[in-house]
Amino acid sequence: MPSKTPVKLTVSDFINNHEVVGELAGLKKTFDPASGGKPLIVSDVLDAEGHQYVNLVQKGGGVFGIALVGYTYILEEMGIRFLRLAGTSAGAINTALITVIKNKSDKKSAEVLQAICDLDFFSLVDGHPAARTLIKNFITKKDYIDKAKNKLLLVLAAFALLIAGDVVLVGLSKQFPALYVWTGICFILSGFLSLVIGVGVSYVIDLFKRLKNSGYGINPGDVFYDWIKKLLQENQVTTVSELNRKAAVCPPLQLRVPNESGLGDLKGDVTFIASELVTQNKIQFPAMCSLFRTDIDSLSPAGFIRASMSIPIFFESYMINDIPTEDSRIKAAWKQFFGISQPPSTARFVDGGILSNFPISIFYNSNVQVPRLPSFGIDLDDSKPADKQENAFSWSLTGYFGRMFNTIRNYYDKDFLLKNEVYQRGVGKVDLSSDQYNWLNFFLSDKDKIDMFVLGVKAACEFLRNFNWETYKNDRTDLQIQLKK
Amino acid sequence: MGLIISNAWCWLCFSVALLLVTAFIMLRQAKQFYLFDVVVRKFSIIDLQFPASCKEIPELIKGIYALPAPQQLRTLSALRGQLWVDFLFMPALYGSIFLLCIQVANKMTPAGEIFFECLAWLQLIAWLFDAMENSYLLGKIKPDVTPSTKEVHRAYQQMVFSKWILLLTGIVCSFSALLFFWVSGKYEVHSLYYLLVLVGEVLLFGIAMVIINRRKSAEDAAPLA
Repeated sequence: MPSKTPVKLTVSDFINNHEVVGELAGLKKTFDPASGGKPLIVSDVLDAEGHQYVNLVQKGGGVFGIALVGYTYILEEMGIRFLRLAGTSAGAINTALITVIKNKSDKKSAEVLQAICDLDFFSLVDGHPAARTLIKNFITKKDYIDKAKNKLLLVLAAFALLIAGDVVLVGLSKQFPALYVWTGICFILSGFLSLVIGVGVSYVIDLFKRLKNSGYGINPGDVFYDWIKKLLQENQVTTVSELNRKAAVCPPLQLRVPNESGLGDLKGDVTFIASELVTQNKIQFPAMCSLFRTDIDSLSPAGFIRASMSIPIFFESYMINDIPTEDSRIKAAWKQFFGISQPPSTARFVDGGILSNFPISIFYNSNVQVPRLPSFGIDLDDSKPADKQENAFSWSLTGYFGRMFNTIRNYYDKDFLLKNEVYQRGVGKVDLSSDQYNWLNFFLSDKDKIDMFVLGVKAACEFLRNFNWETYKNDRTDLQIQLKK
Repeated sequence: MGLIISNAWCWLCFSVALLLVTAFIMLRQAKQFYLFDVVVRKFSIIDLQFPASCKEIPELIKGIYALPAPQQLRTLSALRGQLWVDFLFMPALYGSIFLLCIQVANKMTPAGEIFFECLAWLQLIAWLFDAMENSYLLGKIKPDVTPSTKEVHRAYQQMVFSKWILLLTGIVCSFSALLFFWVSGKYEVHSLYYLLVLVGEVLLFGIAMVIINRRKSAEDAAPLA
């Protein structure tokens, strides 16, 4: 008899998946000189073990973050390591884990996957049970709104019928006493349905009140905060200084070919992007910690990632209270970063993705003429076929607002890539446009998780097959020369 | 019991009077219900009755202890006070529903009589649940409050839900039946006097609430000395 105990997803389910194994074997063969391939060269910065170093930016995209892990798994397996890391939202989570787990020269994907296996994704939706149920049904059942509308209409119709029944039966029971009992029942049922409707309306009002009190966030995000904090602690990162140290420490590096910029200024770092609503700015954590505290270690590094992934409405905003606004160092920091002379006493953060979901621009360095290492990016393309339609007259109201919002939020990063087109060549795109996926679907089946991982793997393999370091390097050098003219 | 049932309307007038007096005190106390959760904000006793998770009650109580000292004392005293006054409110509330159900049962067909008598006696269970709920909450009001286990939290939730279902069913069914007797003219004329007394009590309660609220608004609007 088969066991009823659910089988827990394991790291092996991801990395030993036949598609993953096949893709990786094919890729290794492509770059295996023994099989007639060219060795993989993606960077001029190497460590003693021959790992090649790149900068990596990871895009935000809710649960699509699993695809990012598939992508970085392949990069790691191909001997690529990450010097500087940046990410927004889900990208910030993978960025944080890659930063804190073991050392820069080690592979980290197995540990990241273990964290995914251990996590019950639905627990991240830690809001009111009614909101959890609504979100779950709304995301997993396509016709949920129509069904809910029909049920509501049914209740209202029943209520109208019962009221009409009360009036009719009261009149009839005067003449036909046999109907007396039925009239009483009809009255009690009417009262009962009024109660149900009343309780339903009060409950909805209460939920909206809760939403208002929680700063317009359905889920507190506490489960996520505790989860990421625990993972950071397990990897000996409890303070901002420890995070900075972990991100900066590199093994001794060397250049494959001489470069006039040398290696002196090359060091690792990490950046999480969040949007600050009080002063309406893009905040780069931990670099901008000095805006909020004179002692940066009084801030929690887990909070940066929590701030970066605060999807508006879905999660409560992340707050930093009691900013010492009168301290001259705090004032100086606000003046320096944003030209603001009166800092706010509280900062309120939502998802960095509303301003910069793909912050590749932070790796732009105008001081380097010939790049020593590329800036890789992982783009998550979840635009549905309907989103790609160019017919400007066939959109629904939600489609119209969706496009408006996407135009605003994506243009910041798109503008950089349009003006610095060469950076686009370091970007691999994971195709998640299938209707099967939804970036807010925290109720993913194990199969969906593995499928997303496989999509990330395939995108990374395709990217590496097409990436040409020499062309990239030459084009970026040309760009720098043109800009200096 | 025969005495109570034979004078049900009279007893109802007394219990509704007690219900309105205790409700008045409790509503006044509820005006002091504040907590600190990022900012100072109001909460209601309903937030304590329907927590979304086992962490919510401890977080709410911690929020009260996070208030500045004078407001913290006012809120704690008002909250504890309301829970204690609730022990007086309970016999009035469940007693009133009990009496209403008994009154309706007397005028019903045999099946209806059994249904409404059951509903009346079920109010005693609702009362017991309410008293247990208040004791649980009074035990939780302390600075080092910890979340209950999932089992205890689930039991608490089921107790609160059961209480509300029983009392709302009692109110709605008895009021619906009374409304039916009213529109079909099947009532005794002497009960109208009691009805007038009840309406008078509710009116007095309403007037007292309006006066108090106006005075409070005037105090809030007055410039600080």
